[in-house]
Amino acid sequence: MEADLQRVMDEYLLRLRRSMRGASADVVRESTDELRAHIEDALAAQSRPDLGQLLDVLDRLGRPEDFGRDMALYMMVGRGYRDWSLPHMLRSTWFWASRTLAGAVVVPIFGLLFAGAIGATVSGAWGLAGGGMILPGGLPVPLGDWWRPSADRFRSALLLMLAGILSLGILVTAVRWFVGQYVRHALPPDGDEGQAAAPWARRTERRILILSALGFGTNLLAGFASGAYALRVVPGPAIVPVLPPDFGRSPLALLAGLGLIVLALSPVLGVLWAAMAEAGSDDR
Amino acid sequence: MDDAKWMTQMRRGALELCILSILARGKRYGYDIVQALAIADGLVIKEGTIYPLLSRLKQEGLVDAEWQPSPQGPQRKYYALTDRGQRRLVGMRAEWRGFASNVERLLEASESEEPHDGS
Repeated sequence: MEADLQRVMDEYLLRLRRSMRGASADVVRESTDELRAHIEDALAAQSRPDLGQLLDVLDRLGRPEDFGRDMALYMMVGRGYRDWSLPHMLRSTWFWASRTLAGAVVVPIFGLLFAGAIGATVSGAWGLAGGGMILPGGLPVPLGDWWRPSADRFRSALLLMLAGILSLGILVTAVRWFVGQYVRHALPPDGDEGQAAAPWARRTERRILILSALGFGTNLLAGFASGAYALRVVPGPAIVPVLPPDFGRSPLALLAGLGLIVLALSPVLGVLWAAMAEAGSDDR
Repeated sequence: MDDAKWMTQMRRGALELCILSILARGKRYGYDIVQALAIADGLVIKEGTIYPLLSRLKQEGLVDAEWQPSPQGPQRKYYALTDRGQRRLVGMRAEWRGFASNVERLLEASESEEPHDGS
């Protein structure tokens, strides 16, 4: 291939690789090789390929920014969750978290909530409270007498850790399902709708961000207002739950819990909000 | 809904069926699939967008992909229909034909009832 044609093709493939920033190296390499083969096959069909014909081929392919990310994401999810490749599973979670705003909200929040809850509970900062369990946000969940803290604190902590491992498995499964469903249904439509897909994605991500900020802020404010969060300077944990006796019936407790739920479900609610808004605009 | 958005959704629904149908005839690589889709004018506006679709079909287990050497140049990634993809294709074909037939019948009925000029 002539030098000019090679340079133009290399620039196009570089844009493709940039659009896949964060994906694993094998996915990027495979995608680049596949598109290179496509371009070379298209040029081979011409009798004497020149720069104009190459540009025509690239124009027919479309902007790599419009399909590169989706191509990499489906490949990553497929390798991670269908082929049970742990490295790809972890990498696709990172890719989703780093390349989409929804992922940037869901993955750290889920991770922090979960790790924080486990750590805080095991360390004693958040503990069992008279027949119930305190979730981050101060919302108490009554679980009956059998959850009362025993005199053997180690056994209580061990049970919590075992429950934590089980809940981690459930959480990973739920996140995996959500990622699969999100990728399948919530991404902008495949095809030539680059112009329509980008604004949709921006609007949806803005909605997710609004909901997550609303949920987080509500949880934080209601938690402090109710006294569930109390700052302690030193010594000991920085935030210690202090529950008034009737906390479970406190409107502020419910508000804090609601904020937590909105925060955790913000990607789902954001997509639903976008779908309802689209449906509303279609009806007009 | 404007015409462009409607056509977008139409293409989206039809493209997957068309690709599975093409692969039912034998394994194909990306450019080959694009050439086969060219029969239907307007089905594919930007050729690059079939690649995320092929990745999704593979992720769903409807197609398998394998790199194979090519006599004309670089290796090519060939896609082939899986058993699951074959079952999905059979179902989609039946659904599409029923749907298209019903829509066509409705359109014919509504056109015959449209008032004509001068009536």
